This record gives sequence, structure tokens and C-alpha cells, in this order.
Amino acid sequence: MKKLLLFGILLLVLNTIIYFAYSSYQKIEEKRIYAQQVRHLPQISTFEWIGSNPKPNKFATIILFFHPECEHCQYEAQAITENQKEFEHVNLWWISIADSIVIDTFAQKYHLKSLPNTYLAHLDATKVEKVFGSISIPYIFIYDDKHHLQKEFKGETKVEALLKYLDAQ
Amino acid sequence: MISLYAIKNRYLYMAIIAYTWILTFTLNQFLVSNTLYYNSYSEQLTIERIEGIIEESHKWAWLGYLLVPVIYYIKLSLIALVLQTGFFFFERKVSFSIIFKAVMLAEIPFLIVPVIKLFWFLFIQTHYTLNDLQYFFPLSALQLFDAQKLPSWQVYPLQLLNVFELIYWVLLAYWLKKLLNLSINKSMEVVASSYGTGLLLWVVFITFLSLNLAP
Repeated sequence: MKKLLLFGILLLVLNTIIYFAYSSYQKIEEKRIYAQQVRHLPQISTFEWIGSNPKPNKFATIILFFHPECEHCQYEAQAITENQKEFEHVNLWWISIADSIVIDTFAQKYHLKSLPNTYLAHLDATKVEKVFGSISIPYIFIYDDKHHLQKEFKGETKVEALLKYLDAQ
Repeated sequence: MISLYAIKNRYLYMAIIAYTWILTFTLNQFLVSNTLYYNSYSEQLTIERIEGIIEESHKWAWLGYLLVPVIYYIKLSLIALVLQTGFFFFERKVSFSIIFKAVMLAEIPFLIVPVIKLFWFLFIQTHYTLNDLQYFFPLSALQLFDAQKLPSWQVYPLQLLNVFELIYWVLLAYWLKKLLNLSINKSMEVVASSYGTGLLLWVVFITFLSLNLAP
């Protein structure tokens, strides 16, 4: 009886270890693929644009992955609007999983549309991981004019830090 | 001189908790300053936001102290439970409180780690960030790498691979031998098969969690 119990426990422990190890391996592989993927600016067709689609130009692009209800995202929007002159020659893509109407209300509240190259888009929650990997909110990607990733920021980021990587190009 | 193993479990437990509280307080006083927060976050956050973080950290500091006895109790109990299961399969009935005592006594080398940390950052690496404090584990495999450049899931397994863990295994076997009148080989056999398996399970679980929760 004891031997049977020991065998049962060992089998359970071994299965659990194999499950966690295999799932971890899969996740590492996924992360590797996503890390490769975000090195280049995602295709415009990836997102459901609210209003106009981004126009091709020679500016750098900042993707701000946000949610209208997130306090840090509200702070980020406020800070960018207050320094809008600095972002006149930058494409700002505000991407969120929130409903289009909620995104639009957010944009109006923080006067995001007053910036010339600002674009808003909805991304289905199920597609977020496939596009950006597992990211938190807010998350910022800075791409140069050739659409190569220059810097990622996890969490809210001050304007000076964003500009530093834009100026470096 | 009173032998360590003659001390009642509750006094030993209270001594470990009191020591940890004092060391945590000392580390916070000497190593964690407002300047450290500014140095750690100034690249990404504005002064006002950093001040907000400092205010929040002061506000919730008590929670860290409150969690110390809870975390220790869970940790020590789980290890004792795993060892008791090991003894059960080695045809030996052992009281939980004796194993709990052995686990507490074996914990003692780990209590030196915060002291080393204090001296390291006070006298050797005097310029550091919050990340440096978080990742520091003396004589661990992590010290061979630049922790800031490692993926977050690799940090814990590399931290765990350290000299103190090795001493812990030996001491655990020693105290079990001493308290239960076992041979050191038998004792080591129980530690390796039960605690070793439990630790492996724990490491893969934590790695799995950090891969799935950390962005």
C-alpha cells in the first residue's frame, strides 16, 4: 500500500515538474519569437484605426500601448499633450484593447488629436500577445524612421526620456 | 551553555523573526534612501512621480514587516512537511515539531546573508540601484552574470544556486541526524530525496510563474 502511494506521489510530482518545465520552455520560445517580431514596426493593417490610418512619412514612431482607465496612461497622455511641440515630427500610435468609443473619449479628454501625427487604434485583446508579446500597461515602443526598434519602456515614462531616444536618431 | 536544539520551537521561531525584523530595519535605514529611489527611477520618471513612489513605499513599509512571520511560517512548515513525507516513506515515524526545529536550525546560515548584503553595499559597492539590492545574493551563480541583462525568469534559479543552499542541505541532514539519532547517510538520503525533489518542484513552479506573469 505504501509503495503504491509512493509511486502515486512520485508520478504526480514528476508530471507536475514536466508540465511546468515544458510550459516554461514553450513560453521562452514564444518570448523569443515576439522579441524578434517587435524589432520592426508592426504593419498598419494589424490595428483597427479609429479615424484616419497613419500616413507614410519619414518620422520616427512611438507606440503607446495603454488603457483609458489606467492612471499612468492618463499621466502619459497629459505629459505628451503638455509638450506637444516636441512631438510635432513624431508619429504617435495610441493602441488600446478598450472599445473604440472609450479610446475616442480618452483622446478628446487629453486633446491627443491636436497633435498632427497622432493616430488611435483598437487591438483585440486576443491579438495583443501575438503582436507585442506579453506586455503590461502602459508600455512604450520607440521606432526610428526606418521602423527599427530603438527602445522599449515598461510603465509610464517622462517626456525627456522619450525625447532622448528620438534625438539620438 | 544551552544547546541550540534544547531551545523550544516557539522561542527559536521568535528569535529568527526578531532577528529578521532588526536586519530588515537596518537594511532599510542604511541602504534604502530617497536618493536611491531618485537614482533608480530618474531615467524614466519625473521627480513628482518618484516622490509619489517614495511616499507610497513609506506608507506600506509596515506590510513588509508584518509579512515576515507569515512567510517564514509558511516556508518552514512546507519544508518540514516535505521532510516528514520523506520519513514516512523511509519507514520512520517522526514528530512534525522535531523536523520543524531541524528546519529552523538549518536556516541559521541564511541569516548571515543580509549582514553580508549590508556590508557589501555600505563599504564595497557604494553606488547601487534598487535592482542591485534586489538581485544581490552573495556567493550565488547570479553574481557571475550581469543580472540587469538577464531575462527575469533566470534570476531566481541562479540566485538559488548558492553556497548557502549547499550548507543548508548539509546542516539540515546534520540536525536531523542529531535530533533523530540517525546515521548521516540516512539523514542525507531523506534530505536529498524529499527536500531536493520539493526544491526542484518549487524552482520550476517559480520559473513558470515568472515567465507567465512578468512581461
